[in-house]
Amino acid sequence: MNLEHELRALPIAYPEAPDLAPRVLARLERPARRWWLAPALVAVAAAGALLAIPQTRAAILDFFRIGGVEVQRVETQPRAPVRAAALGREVPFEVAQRAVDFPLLAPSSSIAYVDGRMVNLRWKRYVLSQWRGEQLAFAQKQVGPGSQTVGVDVRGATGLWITGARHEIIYRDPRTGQIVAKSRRLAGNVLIWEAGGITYRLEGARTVADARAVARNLRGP
Amino acid sequence: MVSQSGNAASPRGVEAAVVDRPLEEHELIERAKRGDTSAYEALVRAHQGIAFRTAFLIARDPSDADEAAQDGFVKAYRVLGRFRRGAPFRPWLLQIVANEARNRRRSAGRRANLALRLVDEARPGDAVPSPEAALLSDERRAELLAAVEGLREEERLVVSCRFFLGLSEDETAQTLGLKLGTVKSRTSRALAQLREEVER
Repeated sequence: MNLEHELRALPIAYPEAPDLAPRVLARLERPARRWWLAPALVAVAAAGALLAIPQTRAAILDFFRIGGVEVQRVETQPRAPVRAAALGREVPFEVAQRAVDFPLLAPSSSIAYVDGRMVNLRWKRYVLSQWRGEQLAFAQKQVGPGSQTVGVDVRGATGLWITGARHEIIYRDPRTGQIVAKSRRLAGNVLIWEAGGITYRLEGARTVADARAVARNLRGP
Repeated sequence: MVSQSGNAASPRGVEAAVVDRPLEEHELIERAKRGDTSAYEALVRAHQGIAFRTAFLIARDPSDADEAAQDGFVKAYRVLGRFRRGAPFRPWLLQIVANEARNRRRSAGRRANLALRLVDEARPGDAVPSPEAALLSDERRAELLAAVEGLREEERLVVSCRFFLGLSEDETAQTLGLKLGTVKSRTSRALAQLREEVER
């Protein structure tokens, strides 16, 4: 055996490697904002107000959370690769229902898809995604400068209407620890709301009134 | 009652394109550059093992190595904007970590450095030796490690990076802030000396 191989094969005893990630992250993050922005949004929505957040004020409202989705304003949009439509595996509705541990909200007729822990229902020009928020605690939606966000009341819960540029959801898969990007190119807009620990995301509505009407007419819990 | 497959109209309003895949390193870097700390966390987790071992081989003290690696990751995040897109991330990061470790070693002054030791194979739970390692006698391995420890520091560090950490010549050059030619010449000088020591 040559010397280089022998050196490579030396079983050096290193001290146990520490998990640095939590300490590194703690030094990078500025968590203070989370505490006052979320209650502020809830208060506004609870009052039943329709609050438009003008672009000029976006800087102060750069972080809020709806269910499993963190909404962050960012200066530039992430580049998201766009591929052919893939909402997941097409399945009968009953199979989709069995794939999750909560009763699905659904329109009277739709095509159901299962995508990991997420169920997507597609009908007309709409797609409704639903997932348990806790499973997607890192879910993050990045809203670019071309987007407008509006706090709304949806089925008695706090919601957010986002219009404009495309965006994506990022979350950590709790089983593998991998960070996963779900990218969607939207011609239209998205309404996100949360109820009972479940995050709902409706795409395809043209106006906030349309989105809220669609949401109101969904059947379920 | 809901969902009879195939009876829904085409979703014209939504150009749906969903991607569901693990992010590649360059994508994590681009996200981290924009302030996405969860992307950076994934980078930390991917590289913290080798970052710590690099720091330990230089600083020779576990708590100094821990601090050096941690500070290295924080500094790397702060200067990530300067990271050239498409460049290899690992040696860029390791260079920052190595600098931190060197600073600590310097400030530790004359304090005795921990000597490297070999995994005691009688102990369960440690690294499983490779088949190659099993072929070498304990005595031969101890002799070889002692010979490495006897090298001049500049050669010992090159040997550590190349053979203990498994870095390429290019990665070693960047990590230690050396020219590629210097890495090559120090490696061959070190190997010649080691050969002389252990094959006597």
